[in-house]
Amino acid sequence: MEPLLGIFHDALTGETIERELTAEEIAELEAFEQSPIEQ
Amino acid sequence: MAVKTFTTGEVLTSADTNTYLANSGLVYITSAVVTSAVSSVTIDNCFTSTYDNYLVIGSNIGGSASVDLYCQMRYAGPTTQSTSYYQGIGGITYLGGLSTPLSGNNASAFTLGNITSGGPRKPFNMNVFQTVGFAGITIQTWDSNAGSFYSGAGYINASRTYTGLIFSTSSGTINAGTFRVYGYRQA
Repeated sequence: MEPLLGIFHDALTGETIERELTAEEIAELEAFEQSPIEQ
Repeated sequence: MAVKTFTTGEVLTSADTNTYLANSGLVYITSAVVTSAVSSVTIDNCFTSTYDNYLVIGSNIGGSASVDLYCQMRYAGPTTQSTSYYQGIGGITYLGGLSTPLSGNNASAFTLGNITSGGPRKPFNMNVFQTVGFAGITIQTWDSNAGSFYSGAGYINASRTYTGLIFSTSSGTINAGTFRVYGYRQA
């Protein structure tokens, strides 16, 4: 399985990095992807 | 005074230059560009005490497949706000029918509609309002996949000082696009 990547930009420093998401960040994405909206 | 009309031959002082050349209505803050497949795009520290209201412009946003684009707010930490999103975004298809509404009742994100790998890439304009203890949005966009055209609003029922946002998809990746943040000058 390929690693999940994310772009992280800080408007204060102007720095942009692209890196693998941490386990915690992936868990956050998966949590709301299961049921993001109620229609 | 936010606006001054200069006359022919008038001396342009440094004070006037510093004041009036900066008196644009929208002030560019920052941007993030997607040039390869990513699962999320995070922009931190774009919302500050300088402005109460912001314009976020998304352009040429494409995905790896037909997936929904989501937006969540971030606050000090930075931490992603993952509850208490309420929204009602309605649409009309190009055939004149009503689109499936993008609604949210204590949801975990704002949903901004569909992005695709083909078809027209998605644009949106999203106003972000830092009201007292809350954040609200108004948005206009189109749904690339289904040909729906949306307009609506939402807010987060959680009292925080929001400092940034994160865009992500329901599955797959964001493959292209630019996200720009502007502040509405207040005086």
